[in-house]
Order: sequence, then C-alpha cells, then structure tokens
Amino acid sequence: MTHDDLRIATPVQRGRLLTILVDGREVPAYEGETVAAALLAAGYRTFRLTPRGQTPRSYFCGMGVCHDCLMMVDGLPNVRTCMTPVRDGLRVDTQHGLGEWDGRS
Amino acid sequence: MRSVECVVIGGGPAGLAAAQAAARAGVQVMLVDENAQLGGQYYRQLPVTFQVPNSARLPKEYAEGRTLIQEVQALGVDLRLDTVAWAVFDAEIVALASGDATERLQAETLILAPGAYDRPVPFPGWTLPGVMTAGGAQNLMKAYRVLPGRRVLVAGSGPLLLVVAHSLLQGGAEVAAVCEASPMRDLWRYAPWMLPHLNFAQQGYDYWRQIREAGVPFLRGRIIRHVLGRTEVTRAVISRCDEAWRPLSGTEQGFDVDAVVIGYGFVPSLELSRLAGCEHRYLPEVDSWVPTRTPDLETTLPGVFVVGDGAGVAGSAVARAEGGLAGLVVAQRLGKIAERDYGILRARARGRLRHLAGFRRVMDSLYRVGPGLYSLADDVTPLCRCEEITVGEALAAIREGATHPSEVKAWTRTGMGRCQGRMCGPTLAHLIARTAGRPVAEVGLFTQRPPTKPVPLSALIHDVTAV
Amino acid sequence: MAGVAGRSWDVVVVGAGVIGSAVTYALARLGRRVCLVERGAVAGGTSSASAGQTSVQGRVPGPSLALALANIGLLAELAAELPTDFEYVQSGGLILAEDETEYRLLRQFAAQQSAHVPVEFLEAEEVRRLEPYLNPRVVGATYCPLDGYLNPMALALALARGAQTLGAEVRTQTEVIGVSIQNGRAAGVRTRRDTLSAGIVVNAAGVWSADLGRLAGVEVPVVPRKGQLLVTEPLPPLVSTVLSHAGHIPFKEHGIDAPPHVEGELQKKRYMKQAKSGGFQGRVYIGSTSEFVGFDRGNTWDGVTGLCQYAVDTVPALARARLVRGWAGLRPRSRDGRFVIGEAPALPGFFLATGHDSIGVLHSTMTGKLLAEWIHTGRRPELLAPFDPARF
Repeated sequence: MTHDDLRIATPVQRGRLLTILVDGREVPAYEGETVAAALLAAGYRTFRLTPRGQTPRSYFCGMGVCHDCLMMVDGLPNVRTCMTPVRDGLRVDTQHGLGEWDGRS
Repeated sequence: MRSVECVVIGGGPAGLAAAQAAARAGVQVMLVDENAQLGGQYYRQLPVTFQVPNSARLPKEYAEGRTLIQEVQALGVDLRLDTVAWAVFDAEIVALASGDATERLQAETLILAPGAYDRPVPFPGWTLPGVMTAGGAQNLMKAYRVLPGRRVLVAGSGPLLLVVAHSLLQGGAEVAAVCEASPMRDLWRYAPWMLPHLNFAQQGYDYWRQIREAGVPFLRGRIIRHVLGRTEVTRAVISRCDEAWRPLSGTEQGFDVDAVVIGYGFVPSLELSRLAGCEHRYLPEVDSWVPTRTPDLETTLPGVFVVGDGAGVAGSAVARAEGGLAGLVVAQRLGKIAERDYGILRARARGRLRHLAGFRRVMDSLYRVGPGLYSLADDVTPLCRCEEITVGEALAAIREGATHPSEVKAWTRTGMGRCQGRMCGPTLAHLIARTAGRPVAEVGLFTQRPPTKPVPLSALIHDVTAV
Repeated sequence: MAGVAGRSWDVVVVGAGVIGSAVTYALARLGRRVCLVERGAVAGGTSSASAGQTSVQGRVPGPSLALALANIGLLAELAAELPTDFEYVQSGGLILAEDETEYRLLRQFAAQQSAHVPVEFLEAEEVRRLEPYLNPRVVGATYCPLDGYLNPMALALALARGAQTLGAEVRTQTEVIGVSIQNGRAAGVRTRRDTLSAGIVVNAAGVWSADLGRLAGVEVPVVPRKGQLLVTEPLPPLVSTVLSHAGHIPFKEHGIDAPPHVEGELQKKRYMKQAKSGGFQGRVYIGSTSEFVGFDRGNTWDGVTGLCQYAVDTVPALARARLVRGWAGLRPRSRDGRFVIGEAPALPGFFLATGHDSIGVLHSTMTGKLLAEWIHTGRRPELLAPFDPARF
C-alpha cells in the first residue's frame, strides 16, 4: 500500500495482496475488494466513455443500480465493477462506447 | 413447483428481521438477496477476507448487523445469495435467477424488503468521475475502506450527511464543507417530538460536534449548483437556497475538491411490489411513491407484505421493527402462533412502530424535499444517464405533448437504459408535473416490467424449477 | 395541443399510431383539411411496442408484396421529406434453414421468389461469413438486401409532425367518445370537450378499432393478438441483419408444399435483430409470442424464458448478454388475418384502416397513401381491393 493511495489504513487488515491488469498495467488489489474499489484506491477515475457523447463515467451509486461503473472485465463488456470482486490476474479495460466482443460463448 | 411458506426478498435490516421473526415462530423461510453477503446497504459487512483485530473500532452497525445475520443463519433459514428475484407472476410465483440458472417457486406468503436507493439529482456536472452518491460513498468507505477522494465536498439533506462527513474525516480525508439544503431553523420547535428519541438526537449531535471540531463548515440552506472538471471533479460550486430549496443567484461559493458526495435522500425500490400488482400512492411530504399497506404492513395483495425502506424511507430502526411485525403476522397467518400470544406480540410490535413514527415525522419535516431540487439542471444536463438524454430533450418532448413518463420514454429513450429508469424516473415525474402543471401524484410512473434488474440470458435459459 | 372548439374538417383520423399518422400525412399532402385525434400521445399504442420490422422477402407475390415493396420505396422518399428522422436501416434480412427439410424448402422459395424480389439463397459458409456468431447448426439461408427495420415511434412522430407542417391539426390527450352520424353518413366525432365535424372519419385505432366502431354502430372484426418481446442491454456488434426462420414463410401461399412442422403456426414465428445505429444501437431485440388473451399485456414466465432460449439457441454468444426489459404489444388481427382498409359498408363516410397484425410498420405509409387517394378521388385503388371491409 503506497502512501498516496486512497485506502484507509485502519482498523481492518485486508485480504491477500494480488495484481489486476488495468488497461494493460499492473495495479495492486486486495482479495475481497471490488474492481471499482481497487481502481478508485489507485487513483483511476474514468471507467468508461459513453457511446453517444464519449463522456467519462465512473463509480456513482456503489450498489449496482446506476450501471455507470461498467468496464470490460476479462474480455466481457458491460461488467459492473462495483459488484465484481477482484481476482489475481483479472483483466480490466476502460470500455469505449459499446465495448468489444471477443465472441466467446 | 416448490411451495415455500414465506419468501423474503432482500437481506438488509428489514428482510433479516422478517426472516428472524418468522423463522423463530417455526415458519419455513427462504431469504433471497442479490449480493454475496447479507446485510443490504445499512448492515453491509466487510469482505470475508478482511480481518478486524478490534471490532470496537468499527461503527456500531457492523456488530449490530453481524449479530442479526448470525441469528438468521442459525435459525435454518434457506439463504439464497447472489440471487435476483427477477419477476413475480400471478402475485405468488416468484422467479429467481442465480449464477446460470432460474427457478420458479410458489410463495404462500411474500415479504418484500427491497430497500431504497439514493435519490438521483441532476445538476451540471453530476456525471463527472468523482461525483458519487452518499450511499455509494458509505459503501466504499465502510465495506472496502477506500476514500472517495482527498478533499471532498458533501452536499445534500438529512442526517446521513453527518455520517458521511464523519466517515471521511475518520478515514483521513479533508471535508471542504457539509452543505445541508434545509434551513434547519427553529429546531427547538421539534424538541417535544425529539424527547422520546434522545438517543437518535444524541447521535446526530455527536457527529455534528466532531465535524465542527475538525473545522469543517456546516452550511445550512445551501445547495449544489454545479461541478466542474474535464475528466474528473476539480471544483464544486454551491449557493444559498430558499426554504423551497430554490437556488439564490449571486450567492455562489466554490470549493476546490477532488470528490463530491451527493445525498438528497432516498427513493424506495418499488419494482417487485409494482410488478406484483400492489397498489401504490404518491406521498408529497416525502416525495415518494409507496405501496399502500394495512397497519400489519400487508399490501393490497393478500399475503404480500412490504417492509423497510422499500415501503417508504424511514431508517434502520423502523426497518427492523417492520420486518419483525410482518414476520409475526405471517407466522400467525400460517397457523404457527397461538392467538393470544399473537395479540400481545403484535400489539407490542405496532406500539414500537408508533413510537418510532414520531421521530420519523420530525426527520421528514426537517428535511422535506424542496421543489428547487428539480430546478438545478440546465437544458444540457443529462437527465437519463444511461441513454445520454438531456433535460432539454425531455422538456421538448413534454412540451410537444408527451405528458406521461411512458410517452417521454417512447419518444426520447429516457428510461430505456440499463438502470431501468431508476436514475431518471423521479426527476422526469417532476419535470412533467412542472411543465404540464399537474401534481406529481397524477403524472404516473414508467410501466413496470420484468426483469426487475438486468439478468444474463444464460441464467434465464436454464430452468431448475423443482418438479 | 388544444384546438379551436368544434371545427369543421374534410377528414378526422382517429388514432395516432403509424397507420393513423401515415393517413393524416398523406391527406395533408393532398391538400385536404385533416385533424388527427389521439387519446394518448402520438405512437402511444401498439406502435410503441413494435420492433419496427420492415421485411419484405417472405411476402406473397401479388398485392401483399406489391404493397410491401411500394412501402419500402416510400420510406426512402419519406426519410428525405419528413421533418424528423425515423432511423430506417436496410440491414438486409436472413431467413435461416436449420435442417435438411428447411434447406430444400428455402432453396425452392428463393428460386421462385427471386423473380419478384431481390432474394438469393446462401450456403452455410456464406451465411457464416455474413453472420459469424450464428449457431453452427444453420445449413443455409435466404438473403434479401431490402429487409430492415426502423423506429416505429419515431416514424409516427415524423409523420404527425410532417402533417402539421402541411397544415394538419394533431390533437393528443383527446379521447373520442362518440361518432356523429347524419343522414346515414358519418359526420364527425365527439370528444369530451367538443365536436369535430367532417365528411369522412378514419378509424385507425388499431386494437381499439372495434371499440371505436361500436360507437359508430359498425362491426369491426379486429381483436388483439399479444406478442411478447425482449430487449438486451446495448452490446458490441453480434448480428448485422434481421434474422428469422423458415417457419416465417407462408409456404402454402407461395405454392410450396411444406410439412406442418415447418409451416409454423403463429406461435413459432421468432426473430431477432440488433440495431446497427441510431438511438437503439447495440441492443438485440428478440421476438415474439402469439397469444389471444384480450387486452392483457403482461409478460409470462414461458414467454420470457422461451424467447431467451430461442435467442441463445440462435446466437450462442448472447448467453453472456443481459436482458434489460420484456414487454408486450397487441397486434390488431382481423378475422381472416388480412388488413381491413376501406369504407365501412354499414356507414358511408366511415373508413377503416386497421387489422395490420404484425406488419403494420411495413405497410403503414402505403396504407396512408392509398387510403388518402381513395378518400381524395372517391375511387378505390386496385391494390386495396383485397382489404375491403365489405368482404366480411
């Protein structure tokens, strides 16, 4: 935990430290955190750009209702990062508009 | 198809209390929640991988919630987590989706405890990264121990603002100001009503004092005007407002911040109660549609109850008391309690609710939503966040003759997004009311359809309904 | 939209869905004084529940196909002429063959239909080149470049607005409570506020046209046929054409002998499409069901799960997509399933423009144009002959 991340130090001990990949870059995360929490802690703000106006969106309601925190997660578009737990090696990418589809069924 | 004596939807304070009361009386209870853990929002627990060396240092809701959750778990309630109740058919068939499967079951009695969500308030800049709701900020700080930002403006109305500001300060963030929209004048008038509830008043006072001692300005009669920034928040502007929350121009005040927490109250989640066909009505005093209920908390559909914030936002104490009462009524309905015992218990439960109602009335009055809240947006402010439809586009449709929310939706796509109209619906009703000159109660709501929340098709194609 | 109380018009059109708006526009274009009356908002009824399909390839040669093709042509003209856009896309349409029988039937169909409509038969590899996400079970398909879709709400709105710029009046939130009759002829309508006089009244009330007919003492044999639909969240591109299946083709009417399990009943007609552009871009629409349950517009367990099953079966990648909404529309279906367009024998001056069942959008603008011509000239256009109400 670096001194410039937004995690609150006390009074909990977080889970195991692991690594997620955000737009290809390694970002630390703790087991038990949601993707959104890990991103916000690391200073990532823009999660996606909207289809119509390419406006930046991020975490807003924190409870899975507003659907603004969507990102590409492990190649799947439209994933609510505030409801998705991190996993070691999880791939997270900024979603541009509708996102991309890798065709996995 | 399986039949369950009592299905409770929602595992927050109200749902937990309902499951507890019913199960204690011997009712077969299934408790459904869409999250991975029980607790809802107010009793949100830490992730299981987080450890707490000294739980006394955590806010009291953790322990309170944990205790109730453990009690419910110990009562043998059938717990369905990560499960969405995506529809109710024929008032008693509950459709559940979990993982990659869906099932139908018959609920002899149904207790809905869906909770509420932050009232969405459009203003210029409200979609900028760094702007989040009070509920969202609390979840981030309480459950995941992450700060929304380093220097935060808190704006809204109600006691939750103090709680958020307190959480921010405890977490090491700077709070630029707490801006309460209500004038909060003549508080002494409320003293007689507050006397029986000194514990609540004391809590509020303690938070307020801590904030003042930290040098945080607590500004009354102030409302958010706009938030600036290119890709994220850099500045927030508030201004004074009158008693109707209408902004007073020329009184703007700016703060350089990197996060803005907005908390103008909550809106009950009505999807299931509406889909089931329960009657609802609009209460102007709390600016909410709520299900019509008997004193036993039963809706107009026999056997269907709604408890907690999902029936009208009233806080966790009321939620627990309502859950307890409904669980009791259900137990009696199913023949699990002797009539005499029931009479005593029910009287006690109803008495508790009456007692709490006094405090609620004070809160509702103090923090009553002013119509000015719906005048903060300008024509280019997004109304429908999902579909990126502006307030101006919606107003143009209304002026051209779309005077029902469904009509505005058909013409502009407002309400067609993934949030299913939750973020735009409340504001749209007010825009129509104002433009068409009709009371909000007569404007109506979007038609409620399944699914109550977006559900992957993979879940809906795999039917595991018990034969 | 309050008008001057009680005025006199050439024509009053009741019902501002795609049909009524099209009739109003066409009449206004011919210079007639017309008032469009609607108890809700424009496109508030069936038109707002429609998926907006404009698929011609399966239509039977003769008036049905001629009307459909003329409508397609007219849509292209209107896209340039009307004041607002209605998001018309000629995406092309595929009718899929999923077993040997369907393969044989569709090849036969394509061979004879291509004389009337640009349609070709594609082998499996060609189909997959066009639509890589299709279920590998697909063995072939017919393809027609003219098939597509539009936004039906936007079409009704564009037509109503166009009519207004040409002098027509549109009165919404105005319910018709009576039809005036003088000397055995329709003479206008009564609303809650006033009376509108007109020599001609057009009943374009869709599934409510029987109710309106009753006010005029005219029996209109149209009943609601419910169809449930689903829509997903916006997704990256998965399908680019309108997809439907061999069971959609009325083989018998095309003179092709098909076994009963292929010549599907109404229930089996399923389809899907993903909007390529416009406001609904990315969403996959999945339809439909067929139920005769009066005016009930609820979604059912079977309807929702059945359509999901169909969708994932056809495009397996959809398993990971999320369903955002189900809804249902009521199709106005006549006793024999064909349109009801023309003057009611029981009441001169009272014209019907209804019974469009599941193809209202496709035939809306031509219904409008031809009926307006009939009203304007007093002579029934030949293409409308099969739809004359006198047949009942």
